[in-house]
Amino acid sequence: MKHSIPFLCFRLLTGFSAALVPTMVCVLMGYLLMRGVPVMGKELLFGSTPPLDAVFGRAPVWDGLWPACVGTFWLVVLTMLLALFPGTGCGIFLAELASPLQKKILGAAVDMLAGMPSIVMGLFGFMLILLLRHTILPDANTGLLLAAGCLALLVLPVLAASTREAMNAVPRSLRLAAAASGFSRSQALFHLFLPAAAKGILGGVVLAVGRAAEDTAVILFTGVVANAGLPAGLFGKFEALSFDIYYVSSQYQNQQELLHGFGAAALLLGISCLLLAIARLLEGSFRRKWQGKA
Amino acid sequence: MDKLHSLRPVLSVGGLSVSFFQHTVIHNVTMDVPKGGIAVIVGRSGSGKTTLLRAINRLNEEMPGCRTEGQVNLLLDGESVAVYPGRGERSIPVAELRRRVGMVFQTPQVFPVSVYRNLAMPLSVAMGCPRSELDDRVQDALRQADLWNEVSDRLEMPAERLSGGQQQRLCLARALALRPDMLLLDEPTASLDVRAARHVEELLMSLSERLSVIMVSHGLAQSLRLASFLAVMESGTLVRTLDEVAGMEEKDLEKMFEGAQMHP
Ligand SMILES: Nc1ncnc2c1ncn2[C@@H]1O[C@H](COP(=O)(O)OP(=O)(O)O)[C@@H](O)[C@H]1O
Ligand SMILES: [Mg+2]
Repeated sequence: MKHSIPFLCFRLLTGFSAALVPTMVCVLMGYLLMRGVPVMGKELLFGSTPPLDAVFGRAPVWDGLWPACVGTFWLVVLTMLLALFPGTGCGIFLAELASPLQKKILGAAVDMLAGMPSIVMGLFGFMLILLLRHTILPDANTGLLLAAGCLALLVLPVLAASTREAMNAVPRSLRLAAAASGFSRSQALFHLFLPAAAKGILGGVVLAVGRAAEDTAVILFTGVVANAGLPAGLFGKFEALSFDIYYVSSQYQNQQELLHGFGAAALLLGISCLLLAIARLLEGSFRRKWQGKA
Repeated sequence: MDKLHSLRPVLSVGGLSVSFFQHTVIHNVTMDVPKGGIAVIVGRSGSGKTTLLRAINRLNEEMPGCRTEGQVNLLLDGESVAVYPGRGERSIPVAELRRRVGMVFQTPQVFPVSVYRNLAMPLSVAMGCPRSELDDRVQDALRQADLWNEVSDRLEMPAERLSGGQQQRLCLARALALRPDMLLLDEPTASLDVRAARHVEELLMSLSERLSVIMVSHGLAQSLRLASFLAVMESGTLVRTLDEVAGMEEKDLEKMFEGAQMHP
């Protein structure tokens, strides 16, 4: 069969686009790891502080990335704790329970929130603290919890939209079969549809974790600092890798410091991967439990 | 059982109309299905067989824009039950109705879980069956569907990995596990190869000795093989019912279809 010229062009272009994505991923990761891995080591993480003392918080770390790693870790975990339930809950409501009018209004709200620039979210958090200071809480200050709260607002629409899509993708035939087996709607939702949609929901969690880990604009206004040490608690200032990278790249004075930035980027990648692996493990064990005998 | 009792129809449909978004799909169907054997509904595709079947366990209600008028009465466990009760009539909760009237679909609809869980989940979740009884009931249902020998050592396997015929028998087992009084089957052999289809047919024949079976069929030959009662649908109306198909041949049935087309 002979193909027409436009068709061949189209084939070529799609093939090129398909190849572009993995190529860019490899180039980016390769460059990052090439620059970041050589500086990776005890020194990068802990500076001149003995590692064990640093890990247990017995001694402060001055020029290592360890506090930033811990800060980012807790920031993402807190964010997900705050956002996971409302986000997926909103998505489930949108897909399963909402009336057409509710779908329209709520869907528009989710889209609007999704389109909000993160710097606005940070500013919002900052204004909230100012407001609290002038009213009921004169001592209110920016800190880990506020930053996580604002980040949660940022990832909320991501979670809601991906949950909605995952629930909408549950086939009508499965819904009918569940109803025909005598499941009530909520029984079917909890025992069949949600587990069946778990993979899609996990996809949303992956996006949300990535977004929370990399965002700098929100935390800039809500409590991140360059030298806070380990986070002192929910209301304390904290360090974060994303901010460190930004800070180093704008302030570096020698090649060594710039390399620190690359090290931080590689670490950030590592932490994101770690969190995602945890999420995937959780989903996997949950799936086995659901599908298996017990 | 006294004479009168055995004469009561297992399914009695009166003036049934079903519409989706004001578009009427079933027009004023009235029929009585006698007890015993397999009742088969035949008709061309699009003639409303599936919709008629789904009116029996109220499954049409799961679809948007559905409106049902008329009566459907079932004989469940010797007791007459109104599916669409009028004022003052005793109503049956829809979940209970669907448990007591099992359904098997045209394409096998296994749940995306293990073979065992496919049967155990409706039992424990929808029916509240105690955990200690689950194993026995699962095994019992799998035996009834003639599947036990094939899957007894693979109960933990995802059900989607079974063959099409096995999946359909698993669906049958899933319905049987709930110990229904009636089975609704929507072209249960349409997606199966000839041998798997025959296997299911034989199962249905033996099951029909114990419970009421109402089945939609796509083939005239199959209808003649299985039916003890035959209903012919055309464009949403019931054109014929037959209490006896013995001695009939496919071409007699075909004539009936053509007759229906000539006088719409
Ligand atoms: N959920 C629905 N919404 C709208 N129309 C429907 C729906 N279900 C069935 N119909 C319509 O009803 C008619 C009969 O469908 P169906 O009962 O599936 O026929 P059959 O099973 O005999 O092939 C078809 O024209 C179909 O388009
Ligand atoms: Mg059909």
